[in-house]
Amino acid sequence: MKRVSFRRLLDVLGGLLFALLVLVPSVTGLGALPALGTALNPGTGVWRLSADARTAQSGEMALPGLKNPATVSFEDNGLAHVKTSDDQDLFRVIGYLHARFRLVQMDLTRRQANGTLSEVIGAATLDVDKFQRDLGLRRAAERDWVALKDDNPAKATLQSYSDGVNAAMHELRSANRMPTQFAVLGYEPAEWSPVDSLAVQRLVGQKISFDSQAPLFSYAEKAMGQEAFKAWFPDVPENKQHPYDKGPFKKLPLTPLPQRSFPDPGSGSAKASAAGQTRPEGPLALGAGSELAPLLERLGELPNSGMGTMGHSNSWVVSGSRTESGKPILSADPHLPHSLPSIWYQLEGHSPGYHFSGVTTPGLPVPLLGKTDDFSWGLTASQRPTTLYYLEKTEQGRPDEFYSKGSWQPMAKLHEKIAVRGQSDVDHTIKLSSHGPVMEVEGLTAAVWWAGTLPNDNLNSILKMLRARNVQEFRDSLSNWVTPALNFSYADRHGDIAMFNAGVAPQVDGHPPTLPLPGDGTAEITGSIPFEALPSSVNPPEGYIVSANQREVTGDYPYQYSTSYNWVLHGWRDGEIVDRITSAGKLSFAETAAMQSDWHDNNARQLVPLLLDALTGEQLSGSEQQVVDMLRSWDFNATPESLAPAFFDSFKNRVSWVTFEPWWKHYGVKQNPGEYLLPKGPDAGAWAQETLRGTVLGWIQHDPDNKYFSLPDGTKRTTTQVLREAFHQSVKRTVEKFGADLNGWRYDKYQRILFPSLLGISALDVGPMPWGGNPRTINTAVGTRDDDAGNPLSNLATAGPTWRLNVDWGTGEANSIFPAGQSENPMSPWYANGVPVWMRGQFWPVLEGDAVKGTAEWRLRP
Amino acid sequence: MRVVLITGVIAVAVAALDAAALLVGWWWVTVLVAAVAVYRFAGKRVLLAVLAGTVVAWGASMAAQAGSQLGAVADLVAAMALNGRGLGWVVIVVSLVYALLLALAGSWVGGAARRLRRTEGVAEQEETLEAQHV
Repeated sequence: MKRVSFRRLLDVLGGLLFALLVLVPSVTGLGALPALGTALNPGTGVWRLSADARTAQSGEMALPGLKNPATVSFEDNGLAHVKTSDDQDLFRVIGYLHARFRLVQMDLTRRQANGTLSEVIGAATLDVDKFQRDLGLRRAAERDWVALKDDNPAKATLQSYSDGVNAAMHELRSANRMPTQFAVLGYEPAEWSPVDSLAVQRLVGQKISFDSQAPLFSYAEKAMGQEAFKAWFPDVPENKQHPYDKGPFKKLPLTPLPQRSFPDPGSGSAKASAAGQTRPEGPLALGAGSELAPLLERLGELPNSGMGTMGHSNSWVVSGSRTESGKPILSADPHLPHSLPSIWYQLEGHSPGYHFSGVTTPGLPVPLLGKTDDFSWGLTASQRPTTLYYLEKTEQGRPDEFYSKGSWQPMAKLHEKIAVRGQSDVDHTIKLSSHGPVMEVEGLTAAVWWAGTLPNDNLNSILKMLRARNVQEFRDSLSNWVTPALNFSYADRHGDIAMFNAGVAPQVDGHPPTLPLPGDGTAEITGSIPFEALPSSVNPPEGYIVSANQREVTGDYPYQYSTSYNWVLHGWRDGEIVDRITSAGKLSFAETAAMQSDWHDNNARQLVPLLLDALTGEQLSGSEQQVVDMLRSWDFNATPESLAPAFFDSFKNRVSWVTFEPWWKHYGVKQNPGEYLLPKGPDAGAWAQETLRGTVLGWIQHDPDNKYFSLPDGTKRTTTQVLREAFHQSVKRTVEKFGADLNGWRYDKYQRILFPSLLGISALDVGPMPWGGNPRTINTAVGTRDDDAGNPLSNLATAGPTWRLNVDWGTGEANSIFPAGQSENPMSPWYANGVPVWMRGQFWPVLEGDAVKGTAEWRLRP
Repeated sequence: MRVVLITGVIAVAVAALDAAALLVGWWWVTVLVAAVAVYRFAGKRVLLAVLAGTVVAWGASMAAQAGSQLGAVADLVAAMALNGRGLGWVVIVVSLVYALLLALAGSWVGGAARRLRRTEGVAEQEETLEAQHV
């Protein structure tokens, strides 16, 4: 045998080393790079994007588990119509559809719920994961799945749905057609389970109902003292309210809350792989300069952007006595952060036991808003406290104990490992007192009691609701609703209209649940307002019911309820809706639908006339006189063409600033760590500012001698002086900002709307585009983003009506629209096709049965 | 002439094999085909043929998948990876360079194996382009 030369050896070793250098990143990825072979190869990698984006093609396909053949028809706008001859098949097909069109969104959503985002994103989401694990959505979901009895229809529904999702995943995987985003991110999703759906259900509730108002406003309450605090932040907002339940009220005994203990016995400690996710293989690290680092960083902001907390909504029902058709009309538009894809996937579902049209959330098998053959329903978030904060008494020498009811008690501890992409697992310990997980929120360490993790059987409630035939059955279906606290609007073919508040409402003896509570056992929850005593209204004599997040009841409601500060929506939208309904003659379907695009500002409608009165006799400059003339001719409509909002945006804030700023300085009110309790400047918005806007308006209208118009040093000021000062300041500031020529004040020059991509990629966003409205208009436009300095971007709307629904039970007309599309694939024609329609205030008809003109049909066989 | 012909045949064969494998996502076949080709046929022209065949296979497969939207897909991927607009060409270049790296890796290993075998005195029965040229 010949001796191998050193040179030849080097040759072989060099070749192998080079191959290794190329193959390792190809198989495992490197740093933030995904596995390059999987990602870049033309057959199954990113280059499939356009092929996968093609709209659904007609064809026959197998869906394992189906009992009977089923069909899915697609309209040309992407709306889907599912027809099955078995109820469980219906939910199986819905799961299949969701996975085919929204798999990336579904996986990211369950990861957010479960606290496993860091596993695929990296350290950027570690704090979010810790927060979610503390809160315990996954633990609650696991517990409730174990507790579901076999004869509970929800159990079979969840299993069928999961089976459908998994069938789609298997199909996509075996055909090498998993969504390209997974190739870019470098992982594949694991099987879907019913527990995932239950966790996603709680995440939806978290977005709507989890709040931090109690610790936030405790900064003001602590500094001001109770009397002043109550004056500024009363239980019932000072401005005009439109409660839909005006009493008389009954004080019924409290009902017990669903039982929960910490830690939940059924849950066990969630592990890093709790969600059954596939961890990216290989040595991943978020190295500097890694190409994907920007994407991962943006995904790290995902919970604060596309999936943040913001739950407003409008819904109104008008009885036949007020409509042209002589039968009820229902309108509903839930307000949430805009995102592409949307939180909603719209479909019609038809099986022997169900027939509905409405919007589902990918991850959940049932519609959350919509219509059946017998009734239509909408939802709005209810303004009452369901997140309570307990200040546990602890001592340095007893780090794992809390003092309650006269003795030291051990905190329960859960030890979890959080998988983090690019680094080793992170150990995380969750501490739980008898009230809940101990967390830091708004700079306050407290045990958080949140209704969202109580045991619930909400899915069963919805299944019952979908089968309701009349208002009584609808109401009965909600009697066991636990969370989130919602108003369910209702209108039916029989002519009935109704609104029901549902969900637990914890009561605490002797302490306001809207502020942090002592954890020593003196402020325990004694029960919940019974369902029978929660706000409701059925066929009221005035012929309409409106819910727009306003306080649902009057001040004499005999239970602890919402306050002006534990939520920050003060009745501007409901004021406009009520005005529109009551000032119209007989409402037509088209008029009702058009109301959803209304931009009249109710705050301006009430405040501007008071200002103009106050300016009588005042010496005005040329610019100021121009503004007065402009305001006199303004119809309070904040359209993109209008000029007055440029001034009013400043004025509404300055009125509160001029009134209260000397006082909160006097009281020494501190900012919360995020510095959004109080405005940072005279034109800035803030959480307290939202409440104070209503307070100062109410005082000007009804209590002009209120002591807070004067200064803390005793200097007397009248409301007229306050309004004049705010006016002069606002004109000066607006001229400085937009120039002296009023034509430069057009609202659409600076007011924008943006539909952000869920992945946080600006190139996949739609917008920003010129827009109108503001957070107080029916067609609400809310900013949820901050600028680089952390200040809220007030003129960039990123949240608002995420779906609009109108149903006229007289004419049989129904329409809807959402500002997004059915597909999450950015190259699909169904990615954002609803946006322009929504922006024009137009709709897609809600078609059902034979009226559907499908452009493609899937024939699914077992 | 024969050399050119054989070189062409090798390039076409590499392109066809690579493209067929890429249809089902077997990107690693690119490495394998390059290794076998260079092991079997020696010479710089073979290397050039392998590289050319690889680029053609990957480019054609990308075009076949994305169709007329090749640029749009590339732009979108660039947006996801780099958060920048109009950088689709970077993604196309990176994909092709990556394909070339795969082929080079395979070629090096195949060539090294071939040279090692020759050094060990195993009778070389393979036809080489150089031999044919002589």
